[in-house]
Amino acid sequence: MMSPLMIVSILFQIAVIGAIIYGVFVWRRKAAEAGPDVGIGTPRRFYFYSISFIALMLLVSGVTMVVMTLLDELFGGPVIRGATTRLATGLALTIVGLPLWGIHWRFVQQKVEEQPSERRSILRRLYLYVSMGVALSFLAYSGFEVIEWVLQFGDFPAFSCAAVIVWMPVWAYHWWVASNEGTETTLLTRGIGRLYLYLASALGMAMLASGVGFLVYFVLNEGYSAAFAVDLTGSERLFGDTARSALSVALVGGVIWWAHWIGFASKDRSSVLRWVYLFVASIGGGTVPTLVGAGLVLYALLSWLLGAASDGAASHFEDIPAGIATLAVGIALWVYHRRRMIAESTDAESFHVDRSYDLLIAAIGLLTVSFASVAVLDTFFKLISDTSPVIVDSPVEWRERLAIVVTLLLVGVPVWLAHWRRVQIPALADPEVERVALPRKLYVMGVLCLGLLALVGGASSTLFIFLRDLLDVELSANTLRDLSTALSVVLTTLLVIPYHWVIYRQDRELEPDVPEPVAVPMSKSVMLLTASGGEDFAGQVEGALGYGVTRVNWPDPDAFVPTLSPDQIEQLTDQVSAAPGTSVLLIPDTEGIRVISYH
Amino acid sequence: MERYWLIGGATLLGLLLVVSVAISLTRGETVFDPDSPEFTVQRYLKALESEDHEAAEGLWSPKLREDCSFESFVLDAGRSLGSMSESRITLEEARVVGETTVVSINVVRTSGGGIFGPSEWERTYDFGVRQFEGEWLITGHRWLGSSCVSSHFVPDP
Repeated sequence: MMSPLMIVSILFQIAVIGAIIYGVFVWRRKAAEAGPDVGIGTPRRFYFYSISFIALMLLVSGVTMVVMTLLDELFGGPVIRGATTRLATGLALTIVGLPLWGIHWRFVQQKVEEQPSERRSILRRLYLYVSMGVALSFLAYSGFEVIEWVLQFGDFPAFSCAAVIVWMPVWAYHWWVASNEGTETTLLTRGIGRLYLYLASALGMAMLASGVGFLVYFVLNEGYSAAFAVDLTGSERLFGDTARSALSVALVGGVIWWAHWIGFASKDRSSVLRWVYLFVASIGGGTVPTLVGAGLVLYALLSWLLGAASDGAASHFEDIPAGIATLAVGIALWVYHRRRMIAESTDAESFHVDRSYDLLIAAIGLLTVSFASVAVLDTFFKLISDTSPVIVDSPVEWRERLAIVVTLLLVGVPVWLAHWRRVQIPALADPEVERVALPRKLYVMGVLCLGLLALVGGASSTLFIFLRDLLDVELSANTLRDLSTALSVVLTTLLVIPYHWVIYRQDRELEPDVPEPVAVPMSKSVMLLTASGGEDFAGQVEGALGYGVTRVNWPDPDAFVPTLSPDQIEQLTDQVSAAPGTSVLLIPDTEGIRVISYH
Repeated sequence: MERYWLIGGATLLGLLLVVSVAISLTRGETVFDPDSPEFTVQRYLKALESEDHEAAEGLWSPKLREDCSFESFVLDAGRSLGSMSESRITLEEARVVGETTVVSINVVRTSGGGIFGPSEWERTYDFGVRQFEGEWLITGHRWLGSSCVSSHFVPDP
């Protein structure tokens, strides 16, 4: 089994990729709210925050080494040979980092006091939350080692103790600064804060869930071993190093999750990132582990009942504790986050939230059933194409395959049916609303798209194997055996695609007719010369043309603002449209407006 | 408010630096009982560090001296002996196995640097120490590169 830290490491990498994608998404949306840059300017801001960040890292590294030296002297073992390298390095980093950070940070803080709009800076927010993120990463890892040590497992962790002592105030200070930025925030800066909050919540939840999962597993496994297994080594795993390691991960993760999710993020409602977090936690952290756990337990039972077990009952069922532990943690996360989704969705949101949720789980069910279909067809083709002489018959292999297929069907079919029905029944009752809903469209198009990709892949593989054997004059039962998997994929997609194509067609019929496109006039660069006060007239021309006009001020003494009737304005627009040039100059004269076009 | 944060932090930091330097400079190496295996290991390491090879070889057991060449050991150890000056060595534990005491030492070496600080390298090594005519001598150790000395880590018969 994977260790809790490995799971956390994988989740962290996924989170980083998610953060980058979200960053690009939010960056695209920032322009509307950001407004003009009235602060110290981007180049200076970039310099000051970059240097502040680097100096902070130097300072914290230095202080950590100094504190580490102090802790080693106070609590470390007897010294055979001392060394001053660490202290000297720590002092050097501190002496360089402290003034560097102090000067740069003081400067930006002064600028923030002088120009509060500086708080809207993206770089400032990035500095604050990246610093907090780095601090939290060190606190999570070091906290885990300190708790392990408190539980009397391992040597005195001087580095981890020092890291907790130093990074904690760094995190607290930056949190305090960020939470006192007041109302001077934009969509993007709020987004950076939210991204930190939900990534930290996800990290804490993953650590808590994996730690608790492993603890449940150790307890169940201990009970199982005591009841059924013959343990030659005298098991101490319940209170052993791995169990204490899992407890440490759970405790650290619990604190991080509680502080960020229950505490800081509790007031943030209806943001996109909160919904992303809830869906990921509910489905990725809840539904998927629940189905995997249920699958493990079912497979163990079915393979035993179908006679696929090659060893004794005690050994065969040894995966049951892992399955139950995964199932228990998955159900807990599933129920908790689903309840939060229901509680937090407003009347306007609940329709889309419920449909998205049902359709995502239906997709997981459909994928599971599709795997079962591929497995059963593949087994069938291999069975009928297997013409080689049997030396030793081993029915266990086929029974194992059968157990896998039945397990996938027992897990996938109820999940897909239950959630697809929850979408289809309202769709039949109220088709005008349900069948044109965005989540349903995305689901149907997604299934069709993935189905077609699988069909193309499977069909090309099938064709390749068939043509290869045909050209080599080697068409035989072996050909069928070689293309069994590809053919199974093709046949499975031929079951899935037509059904969803029918759904797609039915949904399309209920979509409202697209109105006839209105002819948009081809815009030209129009410059209008008027005396001051001609804004209203320019507005009338813009309204008639359907696009913007650049008004140029006419300062001469005989300048005037023309007055035209609606008919004359219409005539003017015709003249502008008919003018051969791509740009038009409108000059008022005593007879109306003179239209001069040019390229 | 922010000024208090920064002043408080800077004061605490200054205090921490002063205390750390003071403690590090005033607390030296542990003085072990001269009639202990730990003391022999400490003497041995110090002799090697100061290139007092005669004194270091004098702490080898008769069988180790007979079977292994001290000169070969020093040549094999090479630069690793030179880097001892950058290492902090602490006593992990001393446990008795028959007539031999196994002294485990923890070596921490600080090197390099970067934005997230220097890296540290840490290893634990075992020394076999046994009493010969009232004197604690080294029977072998799992430290540095000499396979001959390592192979004698098992207690002398």
